[in-house]
Amino acid sequence: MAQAVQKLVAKVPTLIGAAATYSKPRLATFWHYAKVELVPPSPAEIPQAIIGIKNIVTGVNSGRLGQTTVKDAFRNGLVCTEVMMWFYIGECIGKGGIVGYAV
Amino acid sequence: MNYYAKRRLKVNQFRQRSILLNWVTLNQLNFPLFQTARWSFLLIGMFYGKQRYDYLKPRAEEERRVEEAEKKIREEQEKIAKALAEASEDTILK
Repeated sequence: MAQAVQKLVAKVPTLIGAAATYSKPRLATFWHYAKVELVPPSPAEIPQAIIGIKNIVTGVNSGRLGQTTVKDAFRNGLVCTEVMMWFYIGECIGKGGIVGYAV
Repeated sequence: MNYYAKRRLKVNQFRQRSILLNWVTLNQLNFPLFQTARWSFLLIGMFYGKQRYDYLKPRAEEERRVEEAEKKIREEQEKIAKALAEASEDTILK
C-alpha cells in the first residue's frame, strides 16, 4: 500500500508535464481567438457595432432576412445563443451563486 | 421614359442595392458587434441578478418569519391534540 502511494507520488511530475504539453497548443489557439473576440470593445469599435445593429434592423424590415442560407442562419443562431449565455453568467455573478438565489 | 417610370426604376435600384448591401454585411461576421453584445449582456445580467436578489431577499425573510410563527402555533395545536388523544383512548395496554 505504501509502495503504491510512493509510486503514484513519483509519477505526479510526469503527469503534470504531460498535461502541460497537451494543453499548450490548445491554450495557444484559445488565446488566439480570445484576443479577438473576448476583449472588451474599444471606443473605436462601438460605432461599428451600432452599424451592425442598424444593418440587422434594415435587413428585418426589407425582408432580406428570409434569404439567409441555413448555414448562415445556424451560425448566427449559435452566436446569438453564446451571447445570451453571457447574460446568464452575469446573472450568476450578480446574485452571488451558481444555482439559485441564496436568500 | 416618363417621370413615374423613372421614379419606379430608381426605387427598384435602391431596393436592389440595399438588399445586396444588407446581404453582404450579414454574411460577414461583425466582431465588434459580438464583443459589445457580450460585454453589455454581461453587465446587464449582473445588474439583473443583483436587483432580483435584492427583491427576493426581504420576501424570503418575511416568509421564513411567517412560517416560524405558524409552525409554533401548529406544534402547540398538535401537542394539545396528542394530549387529548392520549387522555381519551382507553386501552388496557398501558
